[in-house]
Amino acid sequence: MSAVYLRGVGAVSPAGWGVDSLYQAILHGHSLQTKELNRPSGRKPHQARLCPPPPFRPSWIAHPRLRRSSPISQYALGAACEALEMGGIPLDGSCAEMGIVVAVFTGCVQYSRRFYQEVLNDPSTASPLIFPETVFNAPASHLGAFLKCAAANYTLVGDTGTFLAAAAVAANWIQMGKVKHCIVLGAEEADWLTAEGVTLFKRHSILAEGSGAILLSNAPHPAAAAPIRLISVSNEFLYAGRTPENALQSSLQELGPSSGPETIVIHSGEGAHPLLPATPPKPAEKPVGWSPQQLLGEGLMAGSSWQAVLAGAALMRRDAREAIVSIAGLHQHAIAAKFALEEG
Amino acid sequence: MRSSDYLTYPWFIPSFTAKNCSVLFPSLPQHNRPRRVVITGAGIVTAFGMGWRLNADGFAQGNRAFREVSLFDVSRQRVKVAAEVSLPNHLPETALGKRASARLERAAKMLLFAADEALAESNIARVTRSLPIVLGTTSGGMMLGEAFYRKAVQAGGSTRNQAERVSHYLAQAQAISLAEAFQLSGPVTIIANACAAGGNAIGHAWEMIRHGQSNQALAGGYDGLSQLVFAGFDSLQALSPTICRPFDQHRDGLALGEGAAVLILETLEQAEKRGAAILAEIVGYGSATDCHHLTQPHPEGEAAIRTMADACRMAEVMPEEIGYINAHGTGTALNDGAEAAAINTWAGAAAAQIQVSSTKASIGHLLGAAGAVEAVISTMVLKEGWIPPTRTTQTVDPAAKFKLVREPQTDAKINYVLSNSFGFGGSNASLLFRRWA
Repeated sequence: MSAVYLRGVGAVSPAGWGVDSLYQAILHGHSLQTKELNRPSGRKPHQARLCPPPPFRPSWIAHPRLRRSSPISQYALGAACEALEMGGIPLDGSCAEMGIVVAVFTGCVQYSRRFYQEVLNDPSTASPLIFPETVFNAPASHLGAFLKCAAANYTLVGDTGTFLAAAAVAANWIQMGKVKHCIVLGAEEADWLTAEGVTLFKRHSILAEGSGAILLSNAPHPAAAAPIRLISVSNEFLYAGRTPENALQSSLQELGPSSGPETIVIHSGEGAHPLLPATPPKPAEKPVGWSPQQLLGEGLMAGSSWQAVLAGAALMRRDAREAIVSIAGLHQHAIAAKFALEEG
Repeated sequence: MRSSDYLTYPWFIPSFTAKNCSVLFPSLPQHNRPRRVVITGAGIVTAFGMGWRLNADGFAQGNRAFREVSLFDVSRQRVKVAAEVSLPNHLPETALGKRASARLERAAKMLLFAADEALAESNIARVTRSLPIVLGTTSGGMMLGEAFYRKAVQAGGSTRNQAERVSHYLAQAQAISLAEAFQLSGPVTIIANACAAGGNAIGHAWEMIRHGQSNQALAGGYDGLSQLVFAGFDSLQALSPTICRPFDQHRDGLALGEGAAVLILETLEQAEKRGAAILAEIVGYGSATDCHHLTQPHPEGEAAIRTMADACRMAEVMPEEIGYINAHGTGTALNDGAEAAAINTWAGAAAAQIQVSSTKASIGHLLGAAGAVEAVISTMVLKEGWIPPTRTTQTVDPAAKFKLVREPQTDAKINYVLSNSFGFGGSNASLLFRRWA
């Protein structure tokens, strides 16, 4: 079967707009401010790390489809456009065989909450402008319209590991010949309602928002000195009937052994990871493991997409030769993926 | 045999801790010759009732199953009716147990019933529990999400039961409950492509099996009525204030419903080897995106033309061979106009001979469940030889060049059924089914 390549990455995160902002923040351990998300019940506000405004007004923001969109769609466009431009794919709609797979955990929660409050106030006056933007597939639809892509376009919903499952869907589509390229995207927008839910399970969580995108393709970027391949995505190991630790171990075992000291592990958890040494490396030493969630907060599907983006970026910058993305979901599953430089 | 019976058989081996069949990627065999995929089990829950027979009888006669909404207050809504399911008090006996079952959200219960019927019919659990689960939904456990919100905004409200509400509201929770109930090992894929989600889910599962990623799968869709969604469509003035009349010249909107449907898909080879009864074969699937507008289809139905053409091209079937199209047919001015235009363009001269109807006139638009329920209806049509009529349509829109079926037809030997699903966001899906002789 033909290889599947990672051609581009893109990110919007509390560290800023662009992969570089994310990468530098993680590399240097930047401290990022939190903001309060006020709760209507008068209880203590939740804390969140929000995406800053873009440094300049992006051209795509003027697209008619984004006029009424909520932040999640804008983050998705931002990350996707960066990944596509990096991957040498034009944004003018000339790339017809482009698939889109978007993964979300809570999705368009801001407008859903606002609309439902209007319904509770008086359903006869609830705004029809907001309702359409509440659907899970609104970001994927706006992205497809912007790129003028009429090909396959799925929105997957699930626990945070669903981003890697989405990458597997995209990679299989490419190998089946259904599409030549596929943008895989994870996105979330922060809202006090989401924070309310997350903190029931992870008490001191700080919510984060944004998006991460990877561009997969049936061919490497023509200018790539050392192409990056998606080697494998493990099965999804459900927590039912096993411990999360057991599920995580199983997902890592399926990837096979790592290639050694030039492997970086991008993981989702706090604390120890089975593949990482107990003692973290000294500041001057090469990093062996990162968790964007530790720095940025609980980004749900955006968080797991940043993991994949960081993996790709580390390989592109030759900070590693192999990258393992390891995700222990909040409640459903564990899953892992391996990317590597294609040598020779 | 009921699906719960397999729990007592001596050959039952729990598979939760067994190694799963293969990685998610790469998962296509080296020599990838497409395999034939058949349906060996079907389960359905709609406002007509639980199960194949009640639904087949209702659809065959073109009955209607609407009543005043009882699940939430509709007194301030323009429209007061929907095709609401009467859920039995007792759920099927599964590995979940009574306490866990009682906590399930409404949509999850409907899904459980549908899966129970499909699994029992297929008997697939005798062979394997390694069943990928692919489901479509638009709102997951929304009623619990609404309850969570109402509690969260209460001043001084406690967090009691909030964790449980969140757990069971999330869209993946219903699938996980299903996996636990029937001890299936997954993986789990939830496709949220709006009103095409059910069609996309079945199509995706079909592709997985066809291309060798798995030998079998459980695929379907589900959605329960919820106040948010009902009010949403009402706010758009998309709901009919009279009755839903697909392809009627004076149609004035859609009607909502709820339900669930599940198919068990497997390779023909496996089905024949284990002596499974085959209901029908899926021979084509088209999926495309309509980039025209978030909620409105392209007036000429460009993406719909593509999905119908792709589904038929895969099976090398010409439009004139299609005996029946189960249309998306919501009853809105824009959808039915675009779909009619698409069928006319795709089928050309053959359109005049193609029989078309929309079962949404009977049970409403089931959103994420629609494509899956209509897949089961398509299977019924092929198996039992009837075509469900759209009896509410009085004056057929002249734009519809096809034969709109408005009276029951019980002597229809059809070889191919095409089922269309089109959704918000431009998600379009078409599935092609072939009669199993």
